Amino acid sequence: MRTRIARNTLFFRLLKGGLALILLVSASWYLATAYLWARSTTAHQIRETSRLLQIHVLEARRAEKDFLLRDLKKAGFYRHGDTPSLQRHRTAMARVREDIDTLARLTGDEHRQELDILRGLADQTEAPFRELVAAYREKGFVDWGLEGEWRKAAHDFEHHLPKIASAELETELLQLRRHEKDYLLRKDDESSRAVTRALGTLTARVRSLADPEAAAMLADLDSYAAAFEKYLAIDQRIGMTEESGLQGEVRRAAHAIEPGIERVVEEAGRVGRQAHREFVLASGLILLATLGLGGGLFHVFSRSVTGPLAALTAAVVRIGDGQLDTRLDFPSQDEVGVLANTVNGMALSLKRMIAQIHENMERELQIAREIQMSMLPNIFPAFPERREFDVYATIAPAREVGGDFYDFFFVDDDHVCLAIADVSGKGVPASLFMAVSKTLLKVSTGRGRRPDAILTLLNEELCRDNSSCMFVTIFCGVLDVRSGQLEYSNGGHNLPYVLRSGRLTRLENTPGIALGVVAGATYRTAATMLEPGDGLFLYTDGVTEAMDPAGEVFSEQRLEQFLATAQGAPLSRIVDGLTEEIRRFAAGAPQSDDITAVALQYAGPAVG
Amino acid sequence: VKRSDEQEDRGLGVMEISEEKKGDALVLSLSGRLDAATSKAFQDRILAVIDAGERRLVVDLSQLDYLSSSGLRVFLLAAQRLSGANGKIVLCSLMKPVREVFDIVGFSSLFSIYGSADEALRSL
Repeated sequence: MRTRIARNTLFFRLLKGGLALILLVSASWYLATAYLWARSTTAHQIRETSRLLQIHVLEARRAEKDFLLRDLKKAGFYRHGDTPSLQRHRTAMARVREDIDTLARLTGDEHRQELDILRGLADQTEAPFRELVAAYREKGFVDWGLEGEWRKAAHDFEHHLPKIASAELETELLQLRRHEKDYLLRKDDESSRAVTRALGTLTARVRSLADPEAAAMLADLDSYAAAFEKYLAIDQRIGMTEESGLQGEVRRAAHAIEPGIERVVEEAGRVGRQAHREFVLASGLILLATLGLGGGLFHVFSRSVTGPLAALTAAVVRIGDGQLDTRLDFPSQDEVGVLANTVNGMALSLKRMIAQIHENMERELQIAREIQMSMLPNIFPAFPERREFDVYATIAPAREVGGDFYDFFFVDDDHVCLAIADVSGKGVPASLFMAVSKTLLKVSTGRGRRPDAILTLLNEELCRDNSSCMFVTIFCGVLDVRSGQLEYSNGGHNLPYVLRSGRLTRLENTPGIALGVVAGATYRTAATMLEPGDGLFLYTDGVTEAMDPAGEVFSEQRLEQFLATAQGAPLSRIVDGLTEEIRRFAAGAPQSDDITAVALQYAGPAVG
Repeated sequence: VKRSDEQEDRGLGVMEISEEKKGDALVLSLSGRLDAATSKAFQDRILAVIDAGERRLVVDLSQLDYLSSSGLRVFLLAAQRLSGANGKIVLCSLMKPVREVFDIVGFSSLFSIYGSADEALRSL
């Protein structure tokens, strides 16, 4: 048989299945883990960003405070319009915007609205602050801005005073300066009105002067008034208190953004915790799913491999049990298919070989049977020239060859030796022992030798080297055909029956052990007289122990019954009738032992 | 195809063997039929226990219905093996048909046969 390993061999299937399994499992692991990783990373980023947002907002607030508390008193602000605090504020606000953008990107559409509001709030805090900064710069400080203008006007006015040398004027100017200081300290309407009033008094005083300096002084006072007015306006814009004007706006916007930020942080925490829970849950689910998927695939896959193997094994077991007609039908051309074909071939070969062996064995057994049968006298009448007696025998081995035998032959002119024997077991071993026993029996007899002597001699021979513990039961008789005296000796065999004028009796036993067992065993001879017409029936236990299908034995009772009714019939009718009776009784049940029967009828001494 | 001898034999005899260790003796109890079909199993079993070192054997035949010459041969084999090894085999509780077989073949004088297992054990 040509062995063809195709591409769909078991190896390829194992390889493909294994790779597919590994790929599938690892791909699902990878995808699931990557997704979870992304989810948890996003959650982490959201949390981080929300914290940063919070920090940046606080930083902006701090920059504002720093600006308000320190920078307003510094020349740098008024000179350059910018300070480190303002830079920090801008940077912080830019970061706040970045953070909000980042959050929007991370959370997708889910929180867009809230984040838009937050962005709006951030704008709302920054715009008023810028305005506030611009307003402060415009307002100025000491020599800068409006305060500078205002102060310069006051100084310019003061320069005129020495030329005038007016005590009233000086007093009124001092009044003005005092109200001015009050306003700067209190920033209330009353002090601003006091300034305006003092300015009016001073202006009136200057107008009343008839001095060439007066025009210049009035111009200075106008400048003062204009600067003060602007200063008031800008103070109004900035706000007199923290709650009013731009200050108030900045403050309110800052308050407005705080809850928004808090919500964002809270939300981010929630997202993070949820992501964590999802991660734990999903990891477990993925593990289970992967195990399930892998297990399922492995099961399906292994079934596809082991299924045919199991079927194959079952078939081989059937073949091993002798069901050689078992045929496997595997269409696949993989190793299993090839193996199945090989097994089919093997079963066929086995069947042929066994048939061949059977044939050979049967032929040989047939020959052995012919040889064995030819060893036994089986032509009847056996002694056509002798009128003193008639003898008839039959043997039916349970198998082709058996262990039973019978024999009858003349020892001398007047003495006929008659024997029936049963070797332990059956079949070929028994038949070999039977052949030896029968041959030795013949050489153990001799003119004038009594049956016990014959058995003793035969026993010695059989005991020699009998390691197989085979033995033979044998009944041996010597009939004096002139007188009808039967001398006999029994070696463990069933005792023959004597049939005499309608009565059935057994010969008296001469106790002795089966032959081949005990070396040196002795046997006894007994004698009985046969009257003319008397019959002698010898048999082996295959007769009495023949079984019917129910396991019941033919038994001595049935045998005796048969012999009683058959008495008087020709010997062949008795013997063949008995075997026929036994066959009927067995009704098809297998024969377990060799069946042998011998019948003899003494006719009386020959006349003349 | 002709039925093999094994299959043929299988249909005939049913026998069970049980073992029980009593002191240094082993009691083998047979039940069913000891014939040509089953004697091989009995032979294998009893020779195995002898090979395993059992030297005192009691064979209880109280449940044995039928004994053929093939079965007798196994007792002979066992006795032969044991006598070579300073051991002993005794039988007990034979049913009537079995006892008759022993008597006819002349094995009753060859084996020690007792009425009960206890008696047989005491004799060892």
